[in-house]
Amino acid sequence: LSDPKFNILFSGNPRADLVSLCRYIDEFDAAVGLKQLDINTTALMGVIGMNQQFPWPPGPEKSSPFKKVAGFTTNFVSTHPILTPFPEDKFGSLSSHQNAIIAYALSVDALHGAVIKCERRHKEIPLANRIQISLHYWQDLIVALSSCIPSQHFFCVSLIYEALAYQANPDVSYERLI
Amino acid sequence: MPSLSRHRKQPTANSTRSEAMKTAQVQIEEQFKILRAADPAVVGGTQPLQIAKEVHFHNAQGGLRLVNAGEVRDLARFSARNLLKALGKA
Repeated sequence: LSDPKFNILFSGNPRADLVSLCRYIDEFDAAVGLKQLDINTTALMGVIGMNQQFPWPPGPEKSSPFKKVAGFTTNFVSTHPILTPFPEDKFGSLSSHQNAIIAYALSVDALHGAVIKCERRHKEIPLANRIQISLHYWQDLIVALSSCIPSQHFFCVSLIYEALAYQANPDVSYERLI
Repeated sequence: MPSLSRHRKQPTANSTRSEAMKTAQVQIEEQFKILRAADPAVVGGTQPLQIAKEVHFHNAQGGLRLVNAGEVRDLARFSARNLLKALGKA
């Protein structure tokens, strides 16, 4: 039997979401060269607990993939669960932006292969292509995301992810009229 | 026993905002009166400011990427190495 598949976040099982998030953080941080990692576990639990305080009133179950990753990104960055900065020799002045870097990386991975259930077009539309941006854009985006908070930046962050996903998957976008 | 004045209702943020909007509305209408006096074709300024009505847009839903336990680590490793490569630090 193959391993069962589940959504990388918002799987419907908070414990599974927490395990996924811990695995992702652990592997990512090891790959960038950290030998030791300090994590605020209370903050990490708070990120997973955002289902009760999702920044969009209808809640995550009725959200698009873009709103889901925006909810995750804004909650993750604002609660600062990762305390250890990234190596300065690799990340320079962005070494202390480890929470935004992880949140963005996981969000991009989570959107690659995500499915939009569009009630207007009556079909499920996969985001087949991965988001790719330039290094310059990434640097500015990480700085911008580092100060985001859910109540103020959730919609803007959602729109950023949506625009980037549509740039990589132009056929998925609604017709551009305005 | 506490005096009643201590329990007097304080102005709320909403009432302050409402007063500010009324003041702004009067100022805007005054400006349009001046403009209309100079040019009768000016059409703005006759309607009171209104709070936008709630509009229902259709909502697309959807789930994030499906993975199994091993894939989560694979994704993280790939993303981290891809990033280091872009930074010229691979």
